Amino acid sequence: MRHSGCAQRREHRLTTSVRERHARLLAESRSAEPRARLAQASTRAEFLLRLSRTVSAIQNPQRALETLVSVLLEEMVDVAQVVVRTGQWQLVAGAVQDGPVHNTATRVVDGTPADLENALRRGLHDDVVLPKSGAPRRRALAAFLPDPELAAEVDALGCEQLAVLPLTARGRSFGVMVIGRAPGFGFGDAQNFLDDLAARVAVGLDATLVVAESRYVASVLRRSLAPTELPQVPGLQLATYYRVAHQSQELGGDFLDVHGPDDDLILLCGDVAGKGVEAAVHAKRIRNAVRTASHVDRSPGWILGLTNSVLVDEAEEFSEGMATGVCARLRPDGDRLRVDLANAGHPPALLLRADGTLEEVSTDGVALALLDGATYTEAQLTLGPLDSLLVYTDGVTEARGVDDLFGDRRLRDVLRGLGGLPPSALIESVAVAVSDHLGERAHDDIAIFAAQFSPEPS
Amino acid sequence: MTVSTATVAGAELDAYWTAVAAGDARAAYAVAAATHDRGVPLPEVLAGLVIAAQRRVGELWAANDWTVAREHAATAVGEAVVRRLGAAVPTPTTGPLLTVACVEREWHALPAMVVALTLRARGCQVTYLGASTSRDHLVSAILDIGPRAVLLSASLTSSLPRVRRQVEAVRGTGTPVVLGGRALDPDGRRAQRLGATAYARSPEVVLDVLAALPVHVPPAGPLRHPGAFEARSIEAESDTISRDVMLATGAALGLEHADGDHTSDDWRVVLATFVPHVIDCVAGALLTEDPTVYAETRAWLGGVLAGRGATPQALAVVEEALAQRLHDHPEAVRLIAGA
Repeated sequence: MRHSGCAQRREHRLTTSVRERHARLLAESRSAEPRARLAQASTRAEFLLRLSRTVSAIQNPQRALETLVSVLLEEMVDVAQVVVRTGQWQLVAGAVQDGPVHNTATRVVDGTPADLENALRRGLHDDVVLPKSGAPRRRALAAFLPDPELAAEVDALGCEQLAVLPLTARGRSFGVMVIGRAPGFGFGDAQNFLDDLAARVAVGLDATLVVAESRYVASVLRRSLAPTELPQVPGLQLATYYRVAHQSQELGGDFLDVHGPDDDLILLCGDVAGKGVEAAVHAKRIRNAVRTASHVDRSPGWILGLTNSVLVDEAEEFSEGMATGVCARLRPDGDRLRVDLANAGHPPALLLRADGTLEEVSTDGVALALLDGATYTEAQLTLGPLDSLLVYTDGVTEARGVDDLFGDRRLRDVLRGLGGLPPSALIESVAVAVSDHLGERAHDDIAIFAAQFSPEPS
Repeated sequence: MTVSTATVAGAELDAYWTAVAAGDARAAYAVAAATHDRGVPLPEVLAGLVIAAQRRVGELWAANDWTVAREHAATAVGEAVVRRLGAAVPTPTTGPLLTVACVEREWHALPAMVVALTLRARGCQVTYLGASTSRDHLVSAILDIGPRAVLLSASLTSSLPRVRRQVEAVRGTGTPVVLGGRALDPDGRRAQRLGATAYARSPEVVLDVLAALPVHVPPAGPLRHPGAFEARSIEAESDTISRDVMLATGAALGLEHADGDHTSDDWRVVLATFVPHVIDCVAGALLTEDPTVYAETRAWLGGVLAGRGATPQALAVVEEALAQRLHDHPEAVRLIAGA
């Protein structure tokens, strides 16, 4: 009952504007009138152009399929399903007129209905006449429409025929488009037009899939190279700001890492020469070296010394290996935080006291990977409640404005008066000022880190 | 009383406000969590406590009752509360994919965080990209996620030119874009002029707005009115315009010998910070063909300067310098003169 009611309502709607739009593209041009044929040819050409543009603009596979289905339903047919394979995945989107879009992603190994599989393998255009009713009809539908809800909707629509169009690009068939119309309407002499349509769609989707596959590879690498999430340590508030020079690569040579047990954390903030993915790879190696070293000894000076030796040894392989960094050991002690800090050629860490006093943490040390046997001295500090430790990379002070660089003075001006604020507010204040100073200009990688210790009163 | 109609009580807002004013994130979270536990739905807690308090924070700063530092501290409290409330909300694995971001150089993250959390609480799969999201980052996220729609938040009218550029970027990917935030007018006219697919007045109406969105949208057509051309030219050299206007203003008000050791709450520092915003607002008003964009900013900045004891003619001097500098932009000159 429900189905027939739906079908009637749909039939009613289809008699109006949708029907007219579909007719513009698919009506049989039986009339020998050359002007009518010409008009249809130009309508079709315009539609194909618009469709190609739409499909290629959307470089996300699932969205592209969904959009394709909705455009086909709007302008041409009453049933549309698109299936593509990419890597180990099979993506399907399908809908009937006025119905929801059914979207699925399954693994290819999980199986595909046999007829659909054949169509994928053969890559040939096929017209399927559906049995009128009963089990044979349901079987025929299920053979091409893997989503049972979609198959039921197509059944209810009373669709009599399906056109199965292969999607082929670069000599391989990677997908299938299945379309159908309401009862009483077929595809007539539109065969060439449909082949043309499938070819255009295939080229657009193929490009989208290629982009998506390489983006996927890149995103896996990006996840392994990007700064890891900060640990949650009771009483310790950590905040970071990170902005890379090459925004579209989303990777840079500035690095931040915090690891270790809650009561004995190692912080590393640094900057390798260069930008983009190459710099990120090198940064990852340095982070790994520091992590390894910190398992042996947690003194920051010793850690930087060992990391330096490793990098110097490898310097021949990695000619652009130069890097700077601050390494600190953070240990809560009652309501205070004890900090041991060493610096390898990096801008000095800042200590913003709760009362607004700003101190520079002075320790000496050459940049990493320059000098064999370099040693790093340590500074010892104690942070009281609401005191903040700030570490930043030179992307902050060297941010180029309309007349000059951001500089140490502006950094101090920003921090003045912000003593006692939570780290997230400190970081944001600096980030806003740097961003305003930069405007739309290109910039280096920028990283800022702040820590504050204020344990829960027990 | 049913659970779903429970609203924030006056005493709860008072207690929350006391915690925010003290910069006490733990106390603020305790109030918000208790309100939620009492049966007030999360979206209502967010709107009735977090957003309500944040509006008051902005007003107190504008009136110079609060320092920048205090405003920052209170804002950090609001963000911490939203994050902690969010940690208890499960991440849906079905439901529409949505991407929420703040426009580039827009640092008021709280409204977008609230929208993101409200939608997550209502079963949407939301990716929140954070404050000041660059166009490149946004487009990358769209390609990777394939969201049903992108929601862009803008709180400052000076962000409108950047809103337009991000609308172009998003629509270039065929994705519907919904605008929200105080930079837009309640009737959604500015959003429409900027090419948005839709406008959402508040986090609560976003779901209804989403239901009516098309699956895909065509690229944004170019804006061709005379003001649009001028806006583009002003944006392209906004740095130098702003420097020239500041120099002229400084000379006229005798500020050039000021030694720069002013705190961030001094009116001279505030003026220098907001001149670039005024210029962006001129561009925004021209882009949206909405002179109230400029008039609102002017009124707001006038109040902020007066609250900080600025020379009464300071704003007039800035406007004169700006009109002078933009003399070859007739639409801009008319806009400034008409305000």
